Amino acid sequence: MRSPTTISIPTFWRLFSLRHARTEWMQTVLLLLILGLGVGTFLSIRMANRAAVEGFQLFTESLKGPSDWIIEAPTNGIPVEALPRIREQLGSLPVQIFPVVERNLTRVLPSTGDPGGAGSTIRLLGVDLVQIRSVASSVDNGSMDDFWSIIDDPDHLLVSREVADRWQVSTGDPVSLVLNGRKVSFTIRGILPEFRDSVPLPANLAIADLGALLQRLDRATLERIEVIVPEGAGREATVERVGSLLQEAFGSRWSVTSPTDKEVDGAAMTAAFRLNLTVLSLIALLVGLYLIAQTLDATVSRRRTEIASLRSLGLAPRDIQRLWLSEALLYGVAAGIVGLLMGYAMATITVEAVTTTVRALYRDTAQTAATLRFSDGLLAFALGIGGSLVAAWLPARDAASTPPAQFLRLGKRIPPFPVFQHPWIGLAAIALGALLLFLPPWQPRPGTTVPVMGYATAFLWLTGGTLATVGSLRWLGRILHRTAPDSAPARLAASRLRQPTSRHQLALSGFFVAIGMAASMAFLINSFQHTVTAWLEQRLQADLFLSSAGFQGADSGQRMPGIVLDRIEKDPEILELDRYRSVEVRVNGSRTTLGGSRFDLLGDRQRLLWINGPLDPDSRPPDTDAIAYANENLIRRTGLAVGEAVRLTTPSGPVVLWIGGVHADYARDNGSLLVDLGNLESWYQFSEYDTAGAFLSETADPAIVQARLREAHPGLAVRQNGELMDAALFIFNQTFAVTRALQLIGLVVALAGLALSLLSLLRESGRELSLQRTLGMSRREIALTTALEGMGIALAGLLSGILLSIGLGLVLIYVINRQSFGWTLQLAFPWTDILLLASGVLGLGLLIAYATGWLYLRKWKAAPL
Amino acid sequence: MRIEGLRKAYGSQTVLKGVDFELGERERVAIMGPSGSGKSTLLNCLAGLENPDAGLIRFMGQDLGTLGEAAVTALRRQSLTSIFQFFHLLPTLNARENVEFPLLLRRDSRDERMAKVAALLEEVGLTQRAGALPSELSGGEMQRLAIARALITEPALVLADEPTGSLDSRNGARILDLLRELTERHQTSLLMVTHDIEASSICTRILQMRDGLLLEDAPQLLRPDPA
Repeated sequence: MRSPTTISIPTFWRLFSLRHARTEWMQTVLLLLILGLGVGTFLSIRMANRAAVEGFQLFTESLKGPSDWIIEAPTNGIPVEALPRIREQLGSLPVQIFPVVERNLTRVLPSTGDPGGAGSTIRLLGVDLVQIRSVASSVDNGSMDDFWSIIDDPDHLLVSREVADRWQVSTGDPVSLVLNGRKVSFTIRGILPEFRDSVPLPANLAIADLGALLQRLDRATLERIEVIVPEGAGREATVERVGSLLQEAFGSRWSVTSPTDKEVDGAAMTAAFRLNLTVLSLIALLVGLYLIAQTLDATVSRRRTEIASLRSLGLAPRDIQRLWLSEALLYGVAAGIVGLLMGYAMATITVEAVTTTVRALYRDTAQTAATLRFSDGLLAFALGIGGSLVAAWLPARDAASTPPAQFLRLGKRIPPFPVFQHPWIGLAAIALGALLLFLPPWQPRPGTTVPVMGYATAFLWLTGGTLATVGSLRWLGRILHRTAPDSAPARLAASRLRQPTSRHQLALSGFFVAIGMAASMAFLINSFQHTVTAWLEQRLQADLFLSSAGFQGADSGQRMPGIVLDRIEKDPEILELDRYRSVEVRVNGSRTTLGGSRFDLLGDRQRLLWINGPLDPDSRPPDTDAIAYANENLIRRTGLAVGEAVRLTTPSGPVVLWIGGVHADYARDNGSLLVDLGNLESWYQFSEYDTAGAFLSETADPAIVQARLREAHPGLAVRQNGELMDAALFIFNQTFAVTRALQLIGLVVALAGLALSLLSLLRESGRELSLQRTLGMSRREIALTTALEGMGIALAGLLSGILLSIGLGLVLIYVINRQSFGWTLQLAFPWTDILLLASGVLGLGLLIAYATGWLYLRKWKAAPL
Repeated sequence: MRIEGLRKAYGSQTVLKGVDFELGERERVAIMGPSGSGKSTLLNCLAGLENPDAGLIRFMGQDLGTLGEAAVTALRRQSLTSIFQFFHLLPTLNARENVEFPLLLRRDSRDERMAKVAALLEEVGLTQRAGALPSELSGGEMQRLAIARALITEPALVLADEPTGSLDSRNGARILDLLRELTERHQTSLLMVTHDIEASSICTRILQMRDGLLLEDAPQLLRPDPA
């Protein structure tokens, strides 16, 4: 209940909050920037994640709008002759049938004549240009006459503005490209508009007329056929009817799915990856909240006379608490605005980085721009305001509960919040977190597990650790006291560390969280890198690796024709050629990869890194068709076990595979089954291959064979063992680029927070500083005292943060990573990263702390005592 | 210490309007006057916490106005210390450490520091309270500690601003006795600003300050009976 004497919140803001914010404008700006960075980082990752999922929509959607049904073949495509049969099947139903060929297209560098270079591979769509003439006829603002002349040119190609700029080509220029492992020439006949009916077209896009492209490819099969039901009465019923007719007629041979299924698949496939990024993006926000708490605590300390005066004027403790929370609300709104602006600005970079990672890890996406939605704005304000209010709770309660007399007592050091005086609460939270690890993960849908308990443990350890680190400052203070007993600055700094205030505790908490999370990610990345390197060394046994230039995974459509590989296999210096082909299948309802390679080479030449097995192939039950080796991700997702059978549907009919072993596979996290290539060929009847590994004779020089193959097959990428290893590790590092950036942002926020904390401590020590000057301390000595105090906070945060990172690292590796991605990682302590982190944090901490003290004291004028 | 024509103004308000006086070795002088007369401003100028607008402050043969910050800092460490109405002890240091602190700044050896601190704590009667933090001490104890801290470097001059202003009469009298006794024993000059006639009783000379001007020695009637 309000007391009879009170002031309204707007009056309080006008008379107190805004005036203080203006007087201490530098501190206000710094705080808002830090908070804005926290909210902005979270928002930008949210926008980037959404763009990545939206990017899974088919490239064709941007050209003609969404489809209602998509018909695809697992391998070899759909014959063009199927089009009239589909039309016939649908009878008089009002539908548009949209056949598509989709491929990767790689630029051949004019300077070297070789394919490659950054941004050289784009997506090529072969579509009926007449069906998308609204787009195709608007190239370079051309007329319909131009449009028909484009179609008449068999070598035509239309590219996006970004591709034209990247490749430095314009209309009329010839361009040499690699398509399906062969070098081909095209002529740029136009630049695509950037928008179709205000829908942005993908930046990495080229289109050609379907007929002309099929001729260039020398084939008569389509990647897919999209079916669209136009707007009109009874549309929903028609869509349903079309789906069931298609399913009925072609469901056994081809897959008939809706775009929603595809988007859900894409979202499910990347769910764990996106969740990890979201959690990481919370570091800066979480540290930012500690800083709000710290800043408001400092204002309580600095404005104690104001609080005492308000109390003496008749305001009840509850009113004081309300007013202080209202000030936090003001910070929250401002942080929401700054965060919204910063998030939007940062989204351009994060969208690019996240899309690159998704392309490397999952599949090619149509990169979309970051879009800011109304819900983003709401979330920014909810985070800013909600976070500020939570963070302000303790300082506001402190302001309300401390008796006015205590506030007015000069020289009295206000003790830390009561919660900081009970480290056992923190220890109990840590113990509870450890217990939660024994609970199973959440399974929102078959094949997907979310490590909710792992995240809950991490949260409890972070918050519990914040309370349990209370002793570390005292401990460091004692050590500093013993280390430098004859130094006045060291003795004074040590005494302050031994008797920390809430500001010390909150600054330490911010550091603890930032370092704990950043170092634990270093723990995960290092273990990952260590494991992947060992795995690559095991897997990459061949001397040369072949793929079509522009091959970026099975969905890139870039494969090597079998006849080309047959010719290569005849090279006298090639002893064995291990071809690999993959197709997409569903195992127990989850989308997974079925790969084929030569099992006769396993053991002698090719090696798998076994997690479980392998079983003796002779013990395969007679009622199964073939042996298959599963990767551990599939086992975890489907619950299958070694020795069990799994049934698949193939174009040649159902087959039953016997799981003869589980191997490590860090190339994909959507599961895979490996069978002998001969089996896969007989079930799927294909004549193109994804990759191949060539084993050379002992006398052969890999570089010479590589050069020979490159010359004979300019459309192929031929790489030596070491080159492929480097390329794989490059992709690995690229996938962690966002993670590292988020780590860095968290640390920047923590260091900025240190400066803010020390500034607060200096500001509220005006009288003490005057006293120190009176006693004969020089400004340099006072700055050194501040630096040592700041170093103490940084060091305590570093040590306790590293301790936390070991625990969090183990949870990340053995719980979160395993439940999200299904990968077993070998533990590797990131000595170099921790050393760099430690020296960086301590070095920068010392510098920032000294600079804060020195710059403050340069402007500071001694106050009369 | 010799002061000539000292002037200080805050905006349009002139607080010191040309103050002249001299303070001899081992002399104890009290400056008395009503609130707002400029006593504290004068003391802050002498302590180097505020710069006068005009005038000369000579201390131990040096002109404070011409000294750089480092030299003034060195002077504070060696020869010029202060005692305040609100004690102003360093809150995170215990009693022993507060007294030791000026010696740390002077980089005295540990043995020397320990011996001096023990002796002075003994003199002010705080040996038993050496480990206590300022927040654990009474007002009288805090002021005794502040006196010990001021005298530990054996300065030439101690500036005292209302040293009994925050104490009850019994504790105030004790502090004054202690201040007189110790300044005599340590042969230290004392310049005390006060409006308490009792406090000025330990001084050998009393000056009257009014409207920014230092008047001649106060009339005898203001001087209490030293007995």
